[in-house]
Amino acid sequence: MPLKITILLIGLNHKTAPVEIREKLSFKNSPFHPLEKLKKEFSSFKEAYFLSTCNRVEFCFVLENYQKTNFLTDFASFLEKESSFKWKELEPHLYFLENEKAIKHLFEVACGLDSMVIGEPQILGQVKSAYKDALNYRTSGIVLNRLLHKCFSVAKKVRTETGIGGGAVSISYAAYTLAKKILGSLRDKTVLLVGAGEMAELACMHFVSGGIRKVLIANRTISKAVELAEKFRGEAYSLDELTTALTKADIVISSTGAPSCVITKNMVASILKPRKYKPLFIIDIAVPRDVEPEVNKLENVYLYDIDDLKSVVEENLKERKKEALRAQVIIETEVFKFQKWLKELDFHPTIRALTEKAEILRQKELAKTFKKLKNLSEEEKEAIEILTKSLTQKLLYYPINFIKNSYHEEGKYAISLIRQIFELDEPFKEVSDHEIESLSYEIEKVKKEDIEKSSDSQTESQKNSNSKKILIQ
Amino acid sequence: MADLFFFLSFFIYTISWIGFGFYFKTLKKEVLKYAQFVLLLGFLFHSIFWIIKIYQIFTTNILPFKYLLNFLSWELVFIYFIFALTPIKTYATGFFLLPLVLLLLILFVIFPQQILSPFSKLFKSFWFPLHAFTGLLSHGFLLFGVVTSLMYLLQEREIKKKHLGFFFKKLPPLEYLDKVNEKCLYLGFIFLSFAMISGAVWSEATFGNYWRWSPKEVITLILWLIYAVLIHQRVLIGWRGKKASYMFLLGFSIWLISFFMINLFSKGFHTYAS
Repeated sequence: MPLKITILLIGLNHKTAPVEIREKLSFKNSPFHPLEKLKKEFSSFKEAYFLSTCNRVEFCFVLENYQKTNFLTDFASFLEKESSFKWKELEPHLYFLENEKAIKHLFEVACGLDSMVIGEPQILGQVKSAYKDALNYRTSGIVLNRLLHKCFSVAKKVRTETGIGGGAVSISYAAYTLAKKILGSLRDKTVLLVGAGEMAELACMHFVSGGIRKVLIANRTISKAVELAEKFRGEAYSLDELTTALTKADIVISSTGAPSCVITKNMVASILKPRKYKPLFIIDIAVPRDVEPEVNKLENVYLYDIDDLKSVVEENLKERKKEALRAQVIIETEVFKFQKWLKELDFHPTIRALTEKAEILRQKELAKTFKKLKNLSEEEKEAIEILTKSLTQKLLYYPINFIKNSYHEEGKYAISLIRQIFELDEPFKEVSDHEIESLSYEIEKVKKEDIEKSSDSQTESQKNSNSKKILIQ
Repeated sequence: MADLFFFLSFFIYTISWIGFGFYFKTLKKEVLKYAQFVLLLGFLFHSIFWIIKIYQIFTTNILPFKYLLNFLSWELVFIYFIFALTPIKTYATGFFLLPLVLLLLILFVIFPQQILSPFSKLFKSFWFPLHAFTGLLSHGFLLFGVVTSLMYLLQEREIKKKHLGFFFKKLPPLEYLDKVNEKCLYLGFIFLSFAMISGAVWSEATFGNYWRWSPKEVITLILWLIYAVLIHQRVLIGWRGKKASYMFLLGFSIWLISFFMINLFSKGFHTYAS
């Protein structure tokens, strides 16, 4: 049975569109939120969600099947107006995913599988805030609520069960994790920046946020070192005092533009004793290199140059790609589960079957009654017809209302319960008069018992009247 | 009764080791919590075993050599918990330590019962239990330091060779392992000194002389000197990390000689084989 609704995802990302188009469609500078405008201008969709990050712009809609073509023209005109691009220019950069593919894509995005740096964690926060926006503008409904909550739980599952977020994938972070593995806690450690360039400053940020105790800066022009030292509340040294600074440091980040080595093996060897052989981690991110490679051979000195760090990062990325395959398996099972839920969500067939069954019963009973009462006028017949109709409708109001109200919480349970109670999945079987008679006899019996009991005690009577009510219902 | 507690603790240690294996693989805190809880349970049973055994030893005056192995394994678990309570986080040690604990217990089972202590009749003195206990405790710290030294060397190799493989992520930071080594060194030295002093005093009280240059005494003196040199170098010059780890391994090989070779095979004082 095909679904009545379509989940439609339209978007573009760093792989499909150049930055000029991405930035125009990001709506970052527009005075209104796209969902706000979409909701005001078009009514051809039921639910909508909008995600915009620096690498992707995605819309996700839930709409009735028959409105799809309508909606697409609406949406095209909307984008043309907002982005000042022609639809024909935009279309090749967009991807249009429906139902299964759309669900899968949303899951992959939330897990960071579709990101530029695979497994990066920021995207989940961005998806969450995008969902919050959708809630704010009241464009999210039953399907999207469920879908996005599923997204969050899938992302969490993938993160805990696979190593997709494991291992540092940026050079400065790789240096930071290495430092932690060598020096343990960084709280009582000192960083020395050799060369006051931007690179060193950036690399140092991780250490500063990691709670480093002190920052020393050694630079050729001392004024620049002083400037940076003020920023980090550290100490400034000239390059001539490098040995003194090295003695005090635990981590060295070197990034001078010097053509030859600034830190030599002899220099480091001479400071080992005054340092009492405390471990020293030297990060050389300069090209050409600042530190003699031989330094790594000294005891308790660990030297990593830019290529070493790059290979660490690449190794980690490879590892993440392997883990991504495992993540795909989790995502696929979750997509399958979600689709199953979607199918069960469709309550229309159940309501139709219910009303049809009631109508058949009504017609049959009506025919019986009319057979017995032959002298009825047309008016009277009509009155009886109306009476029976409204009776069945009023009785049916409760189960139908139950399905409609509770299907988003209990989903399949509500529907399958109703189907079971009214035997909608079994062939039609008329209830014989005999069975009805015995049923009414039982009802009478219960009533009698109730009356007897209510005279016994007053507290019990409350309960019994409740059960009576249930029976009558 | 004691046997029951022994087998229970052996069984539970094995389960705990598997738990530590899972922790080592996944690095999940919950797994660690369960593994440690199981280990604690095993430790309780092991302690009960020892309470019963010590009572038996003092009533029968018989101390077979193999019980020393069992006591060492109890101490290793005890030391693990001491370090688990300190802020230095080296929980992965459990994964490397428990095989040693289990090995000692297996040795305990397969060692013959007949090898008895030569001093069986001389137990009832204040000094002898002190001597034995402090001596074994210093061995415990030595063995624990050997385990963390091996971990240090594994981790150091990966970082120095810039090949950050399987162990890099799982093993604790070098600094932490080194700190545990340092503590093992100091505590081992203190207890070894205690053992030597109490042994000498006991020897004087029972045999009339403090020191008699038996092989065991000589090799223990060497071990003590290694400790002393290591501490001296560490405090004054800063021997740490790799060098300290290798020294621990050297101390371990000397301990192996003193504990197994001399105790079991050489003739003379401290010999169990007679």
